[in-house]
Amino acid sequence: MSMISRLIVIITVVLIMGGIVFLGGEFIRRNHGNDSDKKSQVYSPSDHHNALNITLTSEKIGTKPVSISYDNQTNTDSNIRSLKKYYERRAYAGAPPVIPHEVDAEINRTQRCNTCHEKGGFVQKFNAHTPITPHPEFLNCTQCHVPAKGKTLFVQTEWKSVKTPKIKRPALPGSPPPMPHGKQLRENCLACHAGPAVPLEIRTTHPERENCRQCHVPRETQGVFKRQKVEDE
Amino acid sequence: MAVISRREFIRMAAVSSATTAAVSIFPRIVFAEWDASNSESTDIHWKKTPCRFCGVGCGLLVGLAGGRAVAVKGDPSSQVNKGLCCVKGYHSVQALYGKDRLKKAMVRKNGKLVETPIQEALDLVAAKMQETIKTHGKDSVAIYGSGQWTIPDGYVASKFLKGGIGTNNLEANARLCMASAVTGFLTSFGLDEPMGCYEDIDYADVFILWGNNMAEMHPVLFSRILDRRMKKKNVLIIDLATRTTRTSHAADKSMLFNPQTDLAIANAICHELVKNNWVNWEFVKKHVSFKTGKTNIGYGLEDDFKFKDEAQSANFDVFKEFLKDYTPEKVEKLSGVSANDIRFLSALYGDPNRKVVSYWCMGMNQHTRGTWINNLVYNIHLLVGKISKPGNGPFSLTGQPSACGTVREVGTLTHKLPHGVVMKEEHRKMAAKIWNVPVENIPAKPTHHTVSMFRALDRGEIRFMWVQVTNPMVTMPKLKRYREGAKKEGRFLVVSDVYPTPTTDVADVILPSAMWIEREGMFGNSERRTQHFDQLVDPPGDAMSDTWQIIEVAKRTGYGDLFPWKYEDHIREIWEEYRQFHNSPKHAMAPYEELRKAPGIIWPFVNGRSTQWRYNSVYDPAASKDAEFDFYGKPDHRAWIWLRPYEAPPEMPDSDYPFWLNTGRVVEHWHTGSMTRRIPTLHRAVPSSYVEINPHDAKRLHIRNGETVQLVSRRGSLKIRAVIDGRGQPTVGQVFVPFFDESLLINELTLDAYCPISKQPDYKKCAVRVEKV
Repeated sequence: MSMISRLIVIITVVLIMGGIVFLGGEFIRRNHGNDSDKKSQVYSPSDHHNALNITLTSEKIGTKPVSISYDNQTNTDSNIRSLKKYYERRAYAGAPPVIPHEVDAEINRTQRCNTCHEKGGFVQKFNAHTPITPHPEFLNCTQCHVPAKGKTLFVQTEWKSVKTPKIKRPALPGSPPPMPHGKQLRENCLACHAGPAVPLEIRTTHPERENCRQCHVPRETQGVFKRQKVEDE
Repeated sequence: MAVISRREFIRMAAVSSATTAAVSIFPRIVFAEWDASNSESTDIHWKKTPCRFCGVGCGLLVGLAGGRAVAVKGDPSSQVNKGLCCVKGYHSVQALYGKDRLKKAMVRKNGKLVETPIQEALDLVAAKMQETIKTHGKDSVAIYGSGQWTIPDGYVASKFLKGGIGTNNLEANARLCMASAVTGFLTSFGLDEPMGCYEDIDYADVFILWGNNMAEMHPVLFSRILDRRMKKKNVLIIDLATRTTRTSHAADKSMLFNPQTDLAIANAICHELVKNNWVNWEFVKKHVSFKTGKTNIGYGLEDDFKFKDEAQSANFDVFKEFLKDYTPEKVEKLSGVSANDIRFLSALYGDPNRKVVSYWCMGMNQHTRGTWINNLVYNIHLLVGKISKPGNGPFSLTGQPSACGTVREVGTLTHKLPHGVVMKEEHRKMAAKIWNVPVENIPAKPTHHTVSMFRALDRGEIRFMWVQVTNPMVTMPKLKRYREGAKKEGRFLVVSDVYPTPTTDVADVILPSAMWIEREGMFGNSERRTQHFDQLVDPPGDAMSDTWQIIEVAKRTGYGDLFPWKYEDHIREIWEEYRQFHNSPKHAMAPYEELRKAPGIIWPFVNGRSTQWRYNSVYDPAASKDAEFDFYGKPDHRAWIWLRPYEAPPEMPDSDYPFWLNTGRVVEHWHTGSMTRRIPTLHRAVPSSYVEINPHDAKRLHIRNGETVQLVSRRGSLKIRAVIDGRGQPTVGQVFVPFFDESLLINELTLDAYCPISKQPDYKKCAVRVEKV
């Protein structure tokens, strides 16, 4: 085969594939839009959630389809965690969150939490999406995550922690913000920054760019670089 | 509608406009549930410390901001936990900030505890101590400490009592948790503490857990085991227990045995090893001796109980004959574990191609034959030569952060000295020389072990007791006797603690202690790792470290010369003095400067290197290079296999009391809950204690989940909530109660029987009945 005919075949294939992707995307987008309009009416919080003593957010949630614009992102179909709720389940920013829902006796013994929390998904009972664990390789879940039964304390506490990390604070206008927290046990950024269970405030606008740390780097120190002369050591 | 005044209206309007302004200036700002200090999240700086809780000794990084501890993360450079903690560790810093923290000394005046300046309280403690010695003699005063003592705490207590005052009335709560492990090591190897280290997990193929709910009690190590199983083919976890737990569910195989029959199971495993000729003959011939000891050794229930074991030489043929009573079929009848399962266990230990680690903790130690069962598990490893090698070995886990570092290594027990025992003249001479005291100061005779010490307090032979970092009025077995004894007229009880407890409730003086990172110190964990921590935050009010409290009282009683150090560097001075006791390749400790830098250092630390596998000539500089192993702890340079039979426990279920009572912990709470119950997350997870009952028993007795039942033993009774579908499930005929709850004191029911060799009580077995109320 000549060079030219090879080139023609390749270009044709690329064009066909591109067309399929475009049309498919359009199809999904349209359907999604219609679908979520319907769902927002079907899944409203109902009384049985209170009966289970499960606290769901009561914040007003919009009904628009998922938008690409970060500031306009709203939830479409379920009770989503607000960032406030997200922090309420932790003793300090970075602490392992408590289990906010009832735990089935069998799961309590066998610790098969990953059945739901590894891949996520919508849970009709709670009318919410399941948060995904950033560390599914750890199987002794209740070693760190314990249930929260009620609000009462044995004695009052004088515990204080620092303010929650500020978000959306780029070093330069428009530059990618650095990570405001450590990565330990949270190596998988997308588990907490993408997907329908994630609080909108910390949801990324571009989950498809999976190589997060190409742009977002940890902040290991508050200081600036200081040169040390060799003889100073 | 309520009328709003003009002033109120203006105030409200201002607040709401300020809020609106804040929201518009800082969009998406959130206010968390915790009280936020003025510090920003970026103000945190991180400092290393070992965890305050169990004996695993995880390395933590504590986040500090604005003079307070505000966060925790696992120290990724710690070889113990490699960055992972458990729920107690992650929330440990909250234990510093309970609202009822003891900040001032309290002295009982006319029956009531009254706030007193700490210097005045220390004067009183010293005066009372001197007065008691003058009237009743040296052996009428005692200090009862803890495996949560830092190394300096225990060291100054020992120097003060044994070197200064001249009494051996020094004990620690580790007697209730580790004594059988110690006597197990001493009888089998001649030296205390494990030969291996946690790194064994990274090489082992089989993990056999003897009566150890590791998923809850040593969760970080259990996660390391699960990780090992995930990453390597054919790794097995076997759970050998008396109760089905989260560990059983995570294990590849769970075997349930009747309480106390672990003795018979271990012998049956050896029976099969011998029968199938899976014995490692080369190892046994070179490195093992056979011994018999006394049998029918009693249970220590009488006040005047005395026991001394005697080793008699035996040989392999005698051992083989002894094992004839322990065929798998016979042991199946006794233990409830099938003969096939016993053969399976034996095959795992015997397979030369599998590396095996055995783990245990309280199940084997809190046992009226605790020393024996420790010996018997060593027997198995010695017969197949799977010991002192990476991935092969028996490993005794501990429950307290410094049970090893302080109680066992410093030796805060009646018979111990920082090096050796009081009975041996050369050890007394060494202590006298380092302490610069006349050797006659140190009495050669041990006095009371813990149970005996509290009995002596009850009888009135001990009149003054100083309790530090422990809560005996929750943890003593057969509690009522010892509580009433402590409250008797003419007893003086000083308690140093951080929160009010049932023990401070009966104290005559309460001294507020600086806890954990509020002072400088060191802990020593299960794998011989010493970990230093700096003072990271200020102690509240008048709170003072236990070390300095003892030094202050010593100065007031005329022993100030023994403690000539300045406050600024006393921890370093104490460490460097203490280190002289272990100045040999068998136990050399790292210098202070090295400890400060590292996230923990395993001893023996020789020429800048840790010894991970003792007795192995490749790793251990103290072992002779003539052979692969040198068990230098024993005079014959061999490890001893002991012929220890099955003997029944002192109290077993009968028609009046048909249930076994087993007690223990849950992952959320640590010991008596005096710290963990003040941590909101932990308290909310398990707010009160309960009794686990098997569903079949519950059905038979018509007990529903959540219903209150009454447990009755020969010593006491307790009304408590029944849990039938909880995280653990006892076998039929057994109930289980966690002991952390000071308002549901399960130790009112337990029995104060102990192992005659180790003197450690058995909290896992007594007889009760379950009544509907």
